[in-house]
Amino acid sequence: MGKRTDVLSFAAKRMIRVPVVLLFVMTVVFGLVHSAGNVVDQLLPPEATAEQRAELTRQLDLDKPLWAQFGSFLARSLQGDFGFSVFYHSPATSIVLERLPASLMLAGLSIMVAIGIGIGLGILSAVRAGRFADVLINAVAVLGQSMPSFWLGQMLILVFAVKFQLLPTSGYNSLAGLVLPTLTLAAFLIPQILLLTRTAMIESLEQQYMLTAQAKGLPTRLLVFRHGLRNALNPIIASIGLQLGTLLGGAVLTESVFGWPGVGRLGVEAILHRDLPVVVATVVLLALVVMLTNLAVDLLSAAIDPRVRVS
Amino acid sequence: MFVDQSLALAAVDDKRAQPAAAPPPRRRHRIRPSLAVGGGILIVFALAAVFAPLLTSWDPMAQDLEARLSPPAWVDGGSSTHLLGTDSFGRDIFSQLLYGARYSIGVACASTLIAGLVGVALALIAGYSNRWTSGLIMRSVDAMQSLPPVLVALMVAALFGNSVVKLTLVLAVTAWPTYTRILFNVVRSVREQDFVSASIATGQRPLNVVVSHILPNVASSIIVITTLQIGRMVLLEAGLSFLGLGVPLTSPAWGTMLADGQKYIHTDVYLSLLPGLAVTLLVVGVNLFGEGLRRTLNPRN
Amino acid sequence: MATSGGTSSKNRRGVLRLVGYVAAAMMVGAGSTACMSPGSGDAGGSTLVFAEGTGPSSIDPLGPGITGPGLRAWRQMYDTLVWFEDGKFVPQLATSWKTVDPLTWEFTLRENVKFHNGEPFDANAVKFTMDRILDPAQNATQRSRFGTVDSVEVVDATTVRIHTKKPSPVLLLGLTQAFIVPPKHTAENGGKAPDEPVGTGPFKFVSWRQGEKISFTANEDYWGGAPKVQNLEMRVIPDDATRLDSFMAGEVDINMNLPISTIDTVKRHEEASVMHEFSRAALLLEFDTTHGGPMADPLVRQALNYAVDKEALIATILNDTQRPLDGQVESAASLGYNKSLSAYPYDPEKAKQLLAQAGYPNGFETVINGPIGKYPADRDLVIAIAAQLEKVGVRATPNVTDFGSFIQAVGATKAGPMFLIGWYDFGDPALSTSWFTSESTLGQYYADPTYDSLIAQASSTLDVEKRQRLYERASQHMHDEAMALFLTQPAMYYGVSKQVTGFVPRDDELITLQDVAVDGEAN
Repeated sequence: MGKRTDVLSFAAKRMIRVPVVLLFVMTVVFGLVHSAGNVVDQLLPPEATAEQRAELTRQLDLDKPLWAQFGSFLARSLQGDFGFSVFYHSPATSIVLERLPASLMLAGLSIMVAIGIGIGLGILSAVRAGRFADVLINAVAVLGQSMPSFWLGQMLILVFAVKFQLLPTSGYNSLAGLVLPTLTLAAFLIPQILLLTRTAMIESLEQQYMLTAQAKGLPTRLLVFRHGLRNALNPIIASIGLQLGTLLGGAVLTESVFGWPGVGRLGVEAILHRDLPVVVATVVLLALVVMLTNLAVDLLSAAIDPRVRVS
Repeated sequence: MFVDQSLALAAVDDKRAQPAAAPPPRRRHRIRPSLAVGGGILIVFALAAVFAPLLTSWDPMAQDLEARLSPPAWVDGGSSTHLLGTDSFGRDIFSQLLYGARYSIGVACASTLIAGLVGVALALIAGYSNRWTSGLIMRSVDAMQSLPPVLVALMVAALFGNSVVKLTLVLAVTAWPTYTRILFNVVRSVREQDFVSASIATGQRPLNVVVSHILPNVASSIIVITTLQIGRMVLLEAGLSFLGLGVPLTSPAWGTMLADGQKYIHTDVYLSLLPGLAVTLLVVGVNLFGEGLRRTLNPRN
Repeated sequence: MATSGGTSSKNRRGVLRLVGYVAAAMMVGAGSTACMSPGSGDAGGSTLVFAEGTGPSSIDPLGPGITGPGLRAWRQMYDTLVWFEDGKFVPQLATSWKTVDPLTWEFTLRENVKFHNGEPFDANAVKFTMDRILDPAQNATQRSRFGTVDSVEVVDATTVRIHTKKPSPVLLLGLTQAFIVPPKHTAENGGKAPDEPVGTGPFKFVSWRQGEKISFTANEDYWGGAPKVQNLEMRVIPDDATRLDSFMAGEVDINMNLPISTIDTVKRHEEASVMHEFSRAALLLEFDTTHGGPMADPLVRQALNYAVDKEALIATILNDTQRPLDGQVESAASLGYNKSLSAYPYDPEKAKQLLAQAGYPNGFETVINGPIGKYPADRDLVIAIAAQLEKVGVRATPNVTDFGSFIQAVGATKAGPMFLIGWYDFGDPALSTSWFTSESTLGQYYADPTYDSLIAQASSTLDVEKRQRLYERASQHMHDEAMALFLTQPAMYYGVSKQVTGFVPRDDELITLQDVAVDGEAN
């Protein structure tokens, strides 16, 4: 009984944060966009007439005071209307939503690959702690977090796609085309998961009662794995939660190198084309996805580990 | 990133009970290999950046179209006049790497410093004030952390133009939330401890309390976060320069070299390979050093 | 750490939930992939894959913002009244034409042509199309070509007359871009461009994913003969490197706009070849002559022309893929090309002399603005030119930005003191010389009355000889006054798979693909 209300009140407190933070995000974005000079100039082609400028100014409420503009920006955004993109010739919201699945797919797949490889390598290096394999795996982990993602992507393309023609370069439609971008993204997730697993596994290996169990003749390997993984679970989930946000928006560089039609690349293109509606829509919607994901992860952690709820 | 790993581990450190049997600290009197190797790498890069004019006679931005795209000296067609070859404008690559290190290291350190000052200050304020103010600050931390850093930095650079100063500020903006987020809890918990209330009760001014009690406790966390943030800033700056919105074109930058190199990747792979290795090596050094530092300051894990 | 059995089963559930969440995310992604990408080449048969860096921005062939990509894409499924081939206008949907008087053109239309949905093509379709183009609410890009058109008259089902207010030497040229659209089909769609468009062209529309690709299938009943391939895919891959990788991996048959640095690589590829054609275009630095400063002085502008070593730029940065301009923006194939002009030679000493003469013995500071990724090696050219100018004392800072904000600045007359720009002859100098007049719609950088009057005269007569002489004088004037820093005439390079036959690059950078065949299996 106590646990249920614990969870519920924690959940309520966490969920209330989302709209508040979203408000902050939108304020920041609005502030940025409007402090950078004439919005109208950036939205219209250079040949636009004075008439067209006046019309757009009226349409966008730019002749009203700032707080009124912010108000209508909020109102429209809450209805999902971020404006119309001249470049993509469609409402900004629908383009972002169109590209979102591609990023989600890449992120989801990268996480799964990273979990698989990360836990596997983590266990291996824990079991061989202090020996050569451990040192090697740790070195690889450090490397994975130190390489610029776009550089890694370029090198992978060079080796696998061009020199050996093993894999396609940009393949949103084929399974094989997923491999290189997924590997590139996973390269950044694996080290963390690896190290968290390793730490938890080492700890469990040293637990007093493990020795007791060994003395009793119980199968140690099984216990080691189960116990170690259990320890690692919460930190790994927390870590992934933090990474998901970075993954979606931070896959910007990876998506650019591979021409992956995701939200990150859309954001870069929109920024470079000065397509303000799409830029705003991308940033706000991405932030929303990240917040919801973190919420889900927090609730998950809280459900698993009661101590998380008490903070 | 290691930063977030530290985050996770910090969370774990704080919340779990002491492990039943911690391993006896055997290597207390030897320097950790990660500290040594990482520190060594950092020293090499720092020296290279500082003594660049002594190590090379070429102006990194001096163009020589006739001598463009020559490979490193040890490859066919290379010569010892340009040790690591030249780029597509005939500029010496070795010089660009050396002088570029100044920007990579300088911008990363400066932005981390600014971010640290702002982040720690906000953490102290938040940890010390009422629920409203701290809530405000922490929600803005949430907001900043849910925005993808590359896109935010790109947006700002695209809207406001790019210069080294603006670049540093933009990077700092993406980095301060990490400090506040991690340190907030620590500040809070330290503040609630008895000796702090005792000193407040005896009339010590809050600033004194902060400096003498709270800061030492958060010091080790700050140091660790800082070293790892620097690595992250190096990568972010390289990414921005790669996209053309980082260090301006009139100055050498590794990210810009990578962007130039991408066009020639099929014929002159060194243009991409060398700056990429430079970035990787520097960040490896930073990460190793930071990891070693973390383990030294928190010997449990 | 003490754990109880209850917690361990919760942990298991937690793990399962986590895995389930991630798997769900993947399935959402995969599912939407399946829904969103229609199989290309589902009709079987050969498929030609063409790729370039940008695609059309809208499905409306008569809407705003139509540039090269739009003209290339919609050309495949729409016809026009006339077409331009081998230096002259050839019949397409119009079999013959004549000028009844200087203000009236009469076209005889081809019979027995149908739109892809069966709707018949006739004079009504032409009138509908032209009216639509002229309608201000439609905001058609093509409207600027028809500024002098007064009205379009249906004489009978196969005869149309176009009445102009003044003699229009560029009417036929404009018509090469006037894609004929179906009146009934458009009306059925509420007067807006339909999402399932039909034309009379060699290919039929299948699908369009904005920013990704357009799919067509062959129109077997095409009046000009069925195309040689069953399916056509025009892909948009903005990143040069990715597009090239795709081509090298065999996924693309024709890759338009090869990055210069990769041309040698493609040449060495066994399965591919490089084709090119010099475009009727020019790369130049435009000067802002209207806001005082050094650029207002012709001596300074001439000095700058002498200061740039165009041959070196071509040999290195441009990898010999372009050739120098002959001291004018027109090239030999353009109307108005002046044979007696030649390029400013590279002479840094003379440049310094002229600068001293103009009152700048120690040079001056300036900025060169330019775009990134719009013209071949644009960014690199700006950087290299800045370094060359520095050698004569002009301390130039290169300032390159994305094309969007660059062209904004250009249009707002804020891109001075000088900027790199690609000039395109649009088929007739009447359409393309306006940039250098005070009537320019792309920023106000010039106010030269001599030049203005020469151009005005040349655009208002139909006499080709007279126009040629006037434009020649305009080119001479532009050269002598160094109104621009003349750089190069670019060429368009295509990576073409060896399995492709029948592809011929054009100097106007447009393409027709109905005579192109792909041997071997479908891609």
